[in-house]
Amino acid sequence: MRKNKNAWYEKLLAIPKPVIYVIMFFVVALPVLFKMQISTYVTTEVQLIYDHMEELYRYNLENPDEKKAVFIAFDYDPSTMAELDPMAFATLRHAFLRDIPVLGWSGLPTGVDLGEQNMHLIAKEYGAVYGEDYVFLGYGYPFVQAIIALATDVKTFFASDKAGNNTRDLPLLGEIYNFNRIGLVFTMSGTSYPESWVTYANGLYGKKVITGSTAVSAAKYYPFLQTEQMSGLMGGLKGAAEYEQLVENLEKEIHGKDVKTYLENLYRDKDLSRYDSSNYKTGFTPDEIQLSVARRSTARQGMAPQATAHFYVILLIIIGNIAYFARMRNSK
Amino acid sequence: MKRTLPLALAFIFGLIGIAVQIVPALKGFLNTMLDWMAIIGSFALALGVSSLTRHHMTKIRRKHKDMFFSYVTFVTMLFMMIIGLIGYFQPESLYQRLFGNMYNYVRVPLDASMFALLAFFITSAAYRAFRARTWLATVLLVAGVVVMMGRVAFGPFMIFNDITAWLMKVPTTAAMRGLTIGIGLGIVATSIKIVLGIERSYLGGGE
Repeated sequence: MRKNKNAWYEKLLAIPKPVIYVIMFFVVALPVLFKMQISTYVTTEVQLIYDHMEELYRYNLENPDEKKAVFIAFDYDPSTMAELDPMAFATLRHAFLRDIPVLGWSGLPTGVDLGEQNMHLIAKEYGAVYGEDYVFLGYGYPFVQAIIALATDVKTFFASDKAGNNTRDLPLLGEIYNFNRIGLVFTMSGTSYPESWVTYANGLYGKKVITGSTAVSAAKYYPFLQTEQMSGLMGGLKGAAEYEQLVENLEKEIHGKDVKTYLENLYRDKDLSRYDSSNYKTGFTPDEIQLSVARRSTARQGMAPQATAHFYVILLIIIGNIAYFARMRNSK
Repeated sequence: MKRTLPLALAFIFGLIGIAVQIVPALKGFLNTMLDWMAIIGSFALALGVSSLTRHHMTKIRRKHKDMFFSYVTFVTMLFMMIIGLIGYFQPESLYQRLFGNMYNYVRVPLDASMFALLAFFITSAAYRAFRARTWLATVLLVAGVVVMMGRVAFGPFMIFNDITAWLMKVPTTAAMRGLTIGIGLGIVATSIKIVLGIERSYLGGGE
């Protein structure tokens, strides 16, 4: 087949890679620079998550002496944090807003620091006290055995938490130390760990498992959702944006629309001796307040560049196919 | 003996593993077995470090052309190990801050950048390889485009959201379920072969 190098379709098919890459760069960068946002809608699988958390909140209200916790497994590392961090933020926010105790760990060694930092970061925004309202256990290794340890007493598996505190000295773990007092299990991961949570936490112990996964992994979890082996699913940045939106509405209901004033006054009347400065420093600087406000819409801000990138890829697919078929027709 | 003992152990514990699930009287032994699993599993970490060390030591000894990277591996591994351990025993010390900074300002951006590069690869692949050459490829292409639109649907594009929801809940679920069942059956078959000593590749060697 002889190529007509001057034909329009040949020119299109020969667009150099660097040009495609540079356009992609601008397509992603410009919406970020101009702080573009697109509105999102809530899917049933994310609404389910919100409803389960609210159900847990109501249970805790009715049973103040037998409160149940949420367990958050930060089973991800920095490579997928752009998609999974906003899910973790929204989940932690929802739990702290509703005064639901939180236990957490990471199943990946590279996710341990990430999980711990995220917990302290969001706990600070709600005045949650380490050891009383939340605990980060550390690295859940070996993974399956760590899950199984939650069936009996997690303190026997984790003699100390990530920070080195004796787990027997932490008041929260004195009350909540196994699946009996864990209402929901969240796993955020770009790996196949959620399947292990389904196998053990749901299959063996009947716990409700909620998964936050990267967009590319989400497809494989839909069968578990249909069989209710998973009780909710956040897929990629879109799922995070939906949950973030729901939690923001709740926060506005509870704390009002002015987040800035709420944060400025948060520690004003609190007994600061309850807070250990090694977890986080109480009070906010103006920069921290600005960051905290921005963090409340991380996923939704990410949706605009994601949308433009998707449209760009679709455009490339269409152009590539038109040029390909034009070449095929002319070669005949 | 080197091969017979692991095969015998796999057979015995394989049978016990099945028995504890179906014989109520043996249920008590399940927790003991799970404790053993936790202890044995912990050795995997030491084994991993030892394998990595041996692999890179061999590269350095043989003066492999990429041995520079083996040195990089050793230096970074030892550096993180040492400051991590000292930092753990000396909270709020310089070592702990250094460990945190290495993670936050080296590891996090490196990992995130690697994953971000995917956007560029996908763009190039979409333009050069995603062609409607056959009807199956066309179905894949159309489904891909619809899901991409559905994931960012707004305003007049909301119809793509409904189609995406259907695609994920019906055809994707059906296909993934088939795959999952197939994988599950494969795991059962392989497990039986391991217990009976038919599958021996886990013992190593070329047999």
